[in-house]
Amino acid sequence: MMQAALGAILLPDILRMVSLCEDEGTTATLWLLAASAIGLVNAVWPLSIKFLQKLTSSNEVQKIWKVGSTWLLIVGGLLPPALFLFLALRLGRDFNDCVSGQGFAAGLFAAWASYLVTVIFCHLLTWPRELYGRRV
Amino acid sequence: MRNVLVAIGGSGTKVAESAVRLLAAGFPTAVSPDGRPTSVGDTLQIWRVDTDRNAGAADTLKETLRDYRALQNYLSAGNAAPPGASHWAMAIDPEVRDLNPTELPEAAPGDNRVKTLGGILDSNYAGVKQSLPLLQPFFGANDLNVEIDRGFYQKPFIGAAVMALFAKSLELQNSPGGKVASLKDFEGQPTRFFLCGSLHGGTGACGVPVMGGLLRRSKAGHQDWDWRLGACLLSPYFVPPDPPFNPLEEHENLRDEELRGRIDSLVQLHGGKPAFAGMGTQEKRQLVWQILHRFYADPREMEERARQGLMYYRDFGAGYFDELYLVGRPVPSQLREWSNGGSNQRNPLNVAEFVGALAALNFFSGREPRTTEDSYLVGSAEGELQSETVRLSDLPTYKVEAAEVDPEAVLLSTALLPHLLLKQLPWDRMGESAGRFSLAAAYERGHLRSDAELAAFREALGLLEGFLRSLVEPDTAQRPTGWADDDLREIEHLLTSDAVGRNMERRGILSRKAKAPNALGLTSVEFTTEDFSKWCPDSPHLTRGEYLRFVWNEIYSRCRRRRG
Repeated sequence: MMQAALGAILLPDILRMVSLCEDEGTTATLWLLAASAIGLVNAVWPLSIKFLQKLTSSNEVQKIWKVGSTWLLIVGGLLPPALFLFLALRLGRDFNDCVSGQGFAAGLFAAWASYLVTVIFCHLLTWPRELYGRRV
Repeated sequence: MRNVLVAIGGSGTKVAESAVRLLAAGFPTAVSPDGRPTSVGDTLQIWRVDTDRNAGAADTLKETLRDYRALQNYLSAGNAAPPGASHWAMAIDPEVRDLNPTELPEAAPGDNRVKTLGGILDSNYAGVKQSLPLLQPFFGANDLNVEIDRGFYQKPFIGAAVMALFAKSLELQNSPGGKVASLKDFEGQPTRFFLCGSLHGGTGACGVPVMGGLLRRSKAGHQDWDWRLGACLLSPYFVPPDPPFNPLEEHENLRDEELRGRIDSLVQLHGGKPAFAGMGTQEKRQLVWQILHRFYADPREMEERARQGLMYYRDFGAGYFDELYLVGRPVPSQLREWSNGGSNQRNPLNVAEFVGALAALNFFSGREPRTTEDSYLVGSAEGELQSETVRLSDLPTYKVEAAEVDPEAVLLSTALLPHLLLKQLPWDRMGESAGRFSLAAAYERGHLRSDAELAAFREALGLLEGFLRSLVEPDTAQRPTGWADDDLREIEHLLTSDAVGRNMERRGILSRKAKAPNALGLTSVEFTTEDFSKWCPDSPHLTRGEYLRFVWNEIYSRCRRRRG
């Protein structure tokens, strides 16, 4: 739901930005920045899910996430930016003219990188053990 | 501090068994350096004084000690700790020191071989003159000739003579009893001796004062020895049924041949009954002879025997002891199965034996000798006590320094441990839990393997549950114990129900309070799973016993008694 809402808000702006492509260098930079922003915003939802689950759990054991579950959530979080950028590729007018397949890959990489950096950084700040739990 | 529990006779043995079970269940006798009630640091040795070598109560005591040792080993620090010692409870010597009063030193071959009063007092060895003419005015022929390898059959006047000889022999290091008791090891050592036995039986009634006298005399010349003597006397708290057939009438004087015939027919008639289970023909004949000649615990005589016993203590015996406890019940339990001792006499733990064990722990926990002004303490239940439906809340409390030890709160705290340890710790994700669970952090610091710890905890908690259940077995016609069924039912609930965990959940997202308290009888305790997650001793070498005792103390300190 959250992702859909986010998409609905951001998609017109991205398409508008792409359609303005007069200077390829600027467009590419803007595209990468936008993709990174998408990745950053996308980090909100797995972190929120985890935070809310912990907040609402009345039992301490339920608040502990296994390393495997944490990474599953993180990997699951890679899918929405890819889907989102793919939709932009398909729906955007003149999109292929401005952002080629290579540009799409670069954008996707930027989105994923910013997502992963954000989500891992937040985990390191709050629940580091759930990221790299040691064998005890 | 060294403690010695001298269990005399069947009732004394059952009190010793109760004491072991109470210690296993967490009852404290001391306070740790950081002010927490515990029994760690003390030691206990059990002496069992009984002629009945194969008594069912003795077998049960030995099985209980085996379980206690296993519990301690599961909770100990592994190979580094001495066997049977942990930070959960005091170390108990797993070997019961069996002191058989009929095993007396032999002045010459043939001396003291025949296990009858006559055989011992009139051994007739090495040409020594017969003492029978001297004995005859005091004892009947049957008293002198009855086999006493199964106790003294509620006849302390038989036992007292044998016991006095035996007590004297304990002073000799090379006598059979002297080797087992090894009194020399206690010389100059701070020790508390606690004797327990029945007032109404044979072995206990004569053994407690005689053994008390021996220990008092041993200390008498050594005022610098820090020995303290306590005793618990159990008044009739159970009534055995009548034997399977009637004894001979006073006027029935059977000739030997007639008696043999009567015995044969009675063996044929009753030999298959439970009282004769596991006996050979000769033993059956002997038991029939004992019944015919009234050598058994006669329910009609018990009260009178107890009264005579108390009079003896009033006039002579009480002075041997620093503290003397008297335990009884308004209405005694009615036993269903008749037995004259032996391995088939296996009675469940009675509420009076539980209270006797509490008296022992109270005595062991007393650091300072009581003054004569407060020597007489009368502890009794508040309000009307229903003898067959006693609750834990009816039991007396005792003090360990400033801390009040309430049996109900102790068992509530212990009964919560299995749920907490097995269901409220994230065993499958300990590596991820170090930030939230103090135990996980301790495991990480100490490089402990959680799977090995969990396996040991499971075993230990299984044993602990068994100890808890056995302490409050409800009273039934088949197994009279004196306990109401409510306490066991509530303990079962604490041990098995997931509602216990739900009660510990927080009331709301922002609340720090638990949804509801967990309770046993009139005592309740309230804390959240979050509180529990933070409980762990700050110890560089954490052991399971140490952790368990720490958690127990956290729960115990939060227990509150509601108004009944």
